[in-house]
Amino acid sequence: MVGFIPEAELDRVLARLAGPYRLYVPVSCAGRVELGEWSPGIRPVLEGRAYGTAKQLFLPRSEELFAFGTHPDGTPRVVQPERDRRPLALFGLRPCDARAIGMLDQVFLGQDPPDDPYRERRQGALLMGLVCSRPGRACFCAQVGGSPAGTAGLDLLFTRIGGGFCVEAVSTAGEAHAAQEDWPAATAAQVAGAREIQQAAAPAAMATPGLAQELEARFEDEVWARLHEKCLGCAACTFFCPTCHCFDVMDAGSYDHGTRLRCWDSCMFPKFTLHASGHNPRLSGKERMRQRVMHKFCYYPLRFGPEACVGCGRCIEVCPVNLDIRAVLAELGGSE
Amino acid sequence: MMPEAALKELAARLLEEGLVDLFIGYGPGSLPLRSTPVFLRQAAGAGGLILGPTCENNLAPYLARFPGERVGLVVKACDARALVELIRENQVNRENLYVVGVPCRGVICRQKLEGRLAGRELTAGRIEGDAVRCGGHEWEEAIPLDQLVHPSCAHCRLPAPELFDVCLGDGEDPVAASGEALEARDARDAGARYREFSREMEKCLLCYACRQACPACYCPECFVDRSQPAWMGGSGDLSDCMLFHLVRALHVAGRCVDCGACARACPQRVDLRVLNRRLEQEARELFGFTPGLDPGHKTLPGSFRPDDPDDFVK
Amino acid sequence: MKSPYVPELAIIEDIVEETLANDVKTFRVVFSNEDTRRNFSYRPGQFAEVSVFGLGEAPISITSSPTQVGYLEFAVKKAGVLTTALHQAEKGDCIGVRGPYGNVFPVEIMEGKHLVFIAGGIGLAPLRSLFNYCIDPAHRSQYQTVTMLYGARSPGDLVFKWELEKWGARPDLVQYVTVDRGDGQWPGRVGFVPAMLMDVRPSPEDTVAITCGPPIMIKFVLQNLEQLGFAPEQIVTTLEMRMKCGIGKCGRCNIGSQYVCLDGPVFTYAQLRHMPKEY
Ligand SMILES: Cc1cc2nc3c(=O)[nH]c(=O)nc-3n(C[C@H](O)[C@H](O)[C@H](O)COP(=O)(O)OP(=O)(O)OC[C@H]3O[C@@H](n4cnc5c(N)ncnc54)[C@H](O)[C@@H]3O)c2cc1C
Ligand code: SF4
Ligand code: SF4
Ligand code: SF4
Ligand code: SF4
Ligand code: FES
Repeated sequence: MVGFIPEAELDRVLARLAGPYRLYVPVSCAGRVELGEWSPGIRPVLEGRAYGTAKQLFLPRSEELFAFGTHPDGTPRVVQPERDRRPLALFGLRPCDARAIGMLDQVFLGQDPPDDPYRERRQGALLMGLVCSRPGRACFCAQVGGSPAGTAGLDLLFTRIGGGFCVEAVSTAGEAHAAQEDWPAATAAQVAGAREIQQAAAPAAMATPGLAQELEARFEDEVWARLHEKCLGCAACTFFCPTCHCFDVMDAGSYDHGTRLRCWDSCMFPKFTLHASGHNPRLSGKERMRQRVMHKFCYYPLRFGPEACVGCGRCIEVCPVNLDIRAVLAELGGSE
Repeated sequence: MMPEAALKELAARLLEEGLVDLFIGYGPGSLPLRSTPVFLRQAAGAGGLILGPTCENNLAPYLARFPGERVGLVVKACDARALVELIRENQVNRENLYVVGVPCRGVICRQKLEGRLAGRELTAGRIEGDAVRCGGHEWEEAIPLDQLVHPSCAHCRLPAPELFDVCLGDGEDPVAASGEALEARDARDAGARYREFSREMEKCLLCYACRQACPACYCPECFVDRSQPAWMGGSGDLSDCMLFHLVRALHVAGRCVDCGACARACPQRVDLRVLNRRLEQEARELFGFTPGLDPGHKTLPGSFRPDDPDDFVK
Repeated sequence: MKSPYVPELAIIEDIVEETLANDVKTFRVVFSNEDTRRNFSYRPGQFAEVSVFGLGEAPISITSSPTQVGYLEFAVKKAGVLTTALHQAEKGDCIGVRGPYGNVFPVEIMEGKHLVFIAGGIGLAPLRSLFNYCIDPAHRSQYQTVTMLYGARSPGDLVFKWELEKWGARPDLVQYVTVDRGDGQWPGRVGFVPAMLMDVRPSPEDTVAITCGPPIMIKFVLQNLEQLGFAPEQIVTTLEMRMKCGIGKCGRCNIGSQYVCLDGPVFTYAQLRHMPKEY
């Protein structure tokens, strides 16, 4: 069933969620769209995708894995952190970002053992997506198997039509929530309107079958020497990528009183693979750029199926030298 | 001839005649009002070179990657000053360089532009004379360039390249240097300044785009990457970010030419000039040293005088 | 629910200084928790993440064999922050251990075969677990001849000397030891491990070769084994990559689509040949 929420009702819908959930919505922040915690009076921005990713809600920039200290007799003591138990709810999530969360799920939950801190945040999270009626200038979701009206990873799909939103449950959790909310049914005309927008938004898929296998054979290709030339080797692209999930583990404090943390890391950093002996399997920018591209378009797909790029275009927007992953793919003979 | 046309011709000639192995300049970017560094090894690509207010990167940091090669490099005035410092500190070999100075009226500050667009998506843009013509879905707007130039450029007092083999164009008028209100900022109490500093630092992700884009940050191993001793935790908390930026600021003092490349590289819009322009000012006012000028002069830290008023170093 | 990142506490019961330069020490550790002591089960080839609280953790092979019950052994070379801190630890100190992680040596394909172990320096640590497992009275009969070729830079760099002596005395084992450089008193063989391999010339017939050591040694050992007629499927090695999580999450240890922490660290040469040369 397709429900309908009039524009004026949205605020009440969000307010109801904000009790049991930690609710995040796209908000305007100095000219940029960012995900922000909802509170009464906050109006979600419904145009454009957020500058930052939703991944930071599930895999924060830095988080405590546990704390340690000592008992009076000097023996160590390990304490797991208490986290906010309220599940997360995200409204206005773009289909690409929801799909990216599904990709993180494969790594953090799909491979044993599950990642506990991630699971705690992910479990019970309600992902409410919004169809992109107009893909942005750097978007290319359709070329990597997604769609501006895609439902992968989502629980509820919102389509904005004149006067309000058509809502559809697209997962079991979504169905349960919809049943509980009991939204009035959308009229046939409203449903038709939503379908039209969804279809207009979804260009013909142009995913490149066999790209992973093709790339695997091109590990030693000389093209890599050229592709990385302008890359500065910062972590902007990977930190802002919704599917990148590499982290470092480190201690802060001392034996008597400290925490073990995990923090985002990036394969673009030279230290990422440096052995204690001084040996480094990825010695130069060429190898590191190759890792980033290969991980997304070859290694991850070989292991998990889809490409680990949802075409959100963030890496294109944040790169200080405008190194465009679409151009890289084109050179590699992939999409575009 | 227009500088851009002259540049294309020159780059093609340098590559054709084998005077350089590699020519580094700017080409059109994939996003509106962006350029992207290009690395030419054949004359054929020279026609794609561009110049202008979208050329926001400082290309000098790339030089370290091509030791032993003869490189042609496009420099704006501030980039040329960065180059002077790199030569002074023996980081690049002047002999191997062919420096092409280009006129500059300031580069676009994407942050200012974003503020001006207030959430509207820019899908097309071009420079026309003194105007930046912006366009999006169902809107168009012409914004005067001087309202969009990066603060480093607005502050630039030396807009003509000092070091070059060839200088294209004969120095267009820079956008009027406004001479920022540093004094007003300093007049605030320490608490206010600390709060401002913290606010900027809280945005930092430690992605190191600033460091990587900076011509003065040329250390093969940055202090933050040392593990023995570990100077910094690296967890990205506020104290780490402050430590990184304070130490970086001190390390680039006397070499930072306030080109603004670090600030423009930052995806989080951290105002790095809060620290840097102050250092540049101190170098000038306390030591009479302007980084990037006078290649014959010693480095700032290398020019200690016994009559230094501070005696802590003695 | 216990997070996989939280280590179990373990007490250092014994420390053996292995080398003259004192850069390798073997730690015998016992879990503080009795249930963990009973339930921690591992197989040769696996590793654990060893913590020193306040300084972090590092992946270290479990060098003891499952046939040794009640404790774990780690042989640690002083390399960086964490390994240095471990070297400063004393008997009775408490560390953290989580694991076991990684895959195991393919004991099934080794059954009924001749075994040739080829190790260099600290590379003996991961092989030792398997070696002791195979030569344990309970398992020895499952294999034909068992040969150990071991070498180090100098006599002072040989690790597990007391055990080498013990093994050398056993009639059912063959052992060759070499050093790159002698020290005047060294009565034994001088030369590199790959060269010794060509002198010993083990037959590839019904044999599995298991090797671990510095990258340069492995490179030549692999070449020489091929020259001796070993098929890639008959050669087993264990790899080292920088690791953090040990459980396929942190994304650091991959070689191509393989996570060394999950799919490795043990690989056959046949597998390696299909992986990108990035290790
Ligand atoms: C599966 C596996 C099994 C292993 N088994 C063993 C084992 O049984 N025994 C053993 O001893 N080791 C073993 N290792 C290796 C061991 O994990 C490393 O030696 C250890 O992680 C080093 O940690 P550390 O904290 O001491 O070094 P770190 O403090 O991490 O210091 C080294 C790090 O510091 C940085 N660094 C800074 N400057 C330098 C520099 N000049 N040179 C090098 N690095 C520099 C680098 O990031 C480097 O990685 C194994 C590794 C793996 C993956
Ligand atoms: S953001 Fe750009 S410069 Fe930075 S690592 Fe990524 S591709 Fe390279
Ligand atoms: S690689 Fe770039 S476009 Fe693809 S998901 Fe990551 S940030 Fe988005
Ligand atoms: S390896 Fe690189 S590209 Fe892959 S997830 Fe990690 S940071 Fe992202
Ligand atoms: S570029 Fe910005 S976010 Fe990245 S390290 Fe520098 S100040 Fe921090
Ligand atoms: S060590 Fe983290 S993925 Fe292998």
